[in-house]
Amino acid sequence: MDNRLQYILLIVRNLSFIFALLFSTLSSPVFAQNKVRGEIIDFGVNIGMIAIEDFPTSEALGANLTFRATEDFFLQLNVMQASSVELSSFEKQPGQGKLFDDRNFLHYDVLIGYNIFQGEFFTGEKTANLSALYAVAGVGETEFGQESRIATTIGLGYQVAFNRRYILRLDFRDYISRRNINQGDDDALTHNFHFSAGFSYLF
Amino acid sequence: MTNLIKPPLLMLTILLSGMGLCLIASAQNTIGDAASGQSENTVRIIEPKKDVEVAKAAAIDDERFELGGFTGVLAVEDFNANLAWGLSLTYHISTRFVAQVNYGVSDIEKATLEGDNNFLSDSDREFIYTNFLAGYKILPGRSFLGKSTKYNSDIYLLGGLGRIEFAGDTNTSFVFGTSYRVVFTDALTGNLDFRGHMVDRDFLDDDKTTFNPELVFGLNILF
Repeated sequence: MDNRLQYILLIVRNLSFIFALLFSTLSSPVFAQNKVRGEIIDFGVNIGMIAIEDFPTSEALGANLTFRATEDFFLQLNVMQASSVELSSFEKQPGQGKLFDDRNFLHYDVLIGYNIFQGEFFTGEKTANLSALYAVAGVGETEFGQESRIATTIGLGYQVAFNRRYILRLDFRDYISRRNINQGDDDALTHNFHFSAGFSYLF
Repeated sequence: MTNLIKPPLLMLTILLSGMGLCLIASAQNTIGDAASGQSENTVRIIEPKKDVEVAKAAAIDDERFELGGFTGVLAVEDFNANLAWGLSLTYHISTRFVAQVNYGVSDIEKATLEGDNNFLSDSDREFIYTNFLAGYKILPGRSFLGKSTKYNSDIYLLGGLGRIEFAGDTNTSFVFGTSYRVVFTDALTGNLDFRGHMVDRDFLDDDKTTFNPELVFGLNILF
């Protein structure tokens, strides 16, 4: 019950922050004077691997929606899924057996990102494209092992823009959440690493 | 007769006087030395500032080796994520290609599913790897830190073979990854690497190919 209440409060707090930032950005003098309205939101999909603690590494698919709040900060909504997490070596032991039937790992979160290193890379002698190394952090929820838990996400990413609208992203995320797969008294804090490569369209 | 000579003489005099005035004026650059009036109001020529900052790129000329240490996290399949650390030696074959040797160690904690059992001895919990990688600079570029600092930075694709000791087993691994490398000075570089270690493992009679991802930060001396 406490977890559920915390979860609701976190969602409310995050949404308030997003709307406040969105409002302040769109009503800023730059946007008002120059009537800049576009190219602040991108939508992307990604493919990668997730190393779930105590379980085998699995293929994962994901999607994200990124709002560029300022030159340095952005907000990102993410969802990812690994639909068929295989049995771990421990589960294959005689007498142990499958711990749970639902082998779906689902995670979604709201992140704040900061561009640490903005840069450019060169695809030719006269062609420079934009790039950025960024850090992200936020909260979300992880559903796995018939449990649904609040998760904290931290990560790093690198993005390159191959023209103004097409962006390639390489991301590392650590989904930190508690889990009780042994159905014991104590929850274990787990780290689940997600590595992905993705493609986004800026519109 | 005298009256006849006078008009041409007068015209010649006027002409010569005019030419004389022109010569004087051209010598002084102003008619009637008009510029002399400005001697009190001298024209001030504003010189542009010539202290343009010269971009200082790291003076990499004959440096070909990078020797450094790294630390990060390694996730081992069926187990957990732990701190990893190691040493790295990189040789720049050309402006685009590198060869790299890495040695890393990570102590793997007990998996939750081990419970009270000890499936591995303490020495078998050490994940030790050595890998030999080739790298290709796919994206040369620059990175900006703030408004006034910029560094050369490159993205490399890495791939190669390695050797992994873990869970009482030693096997050949296939390694691939990416490296984001920043040249801080002509003697110091930094790197942020993702590496995936694919290795066969026979553990608890479960013979399978495992994928163990790793993310590390490193600092290197360039020489």
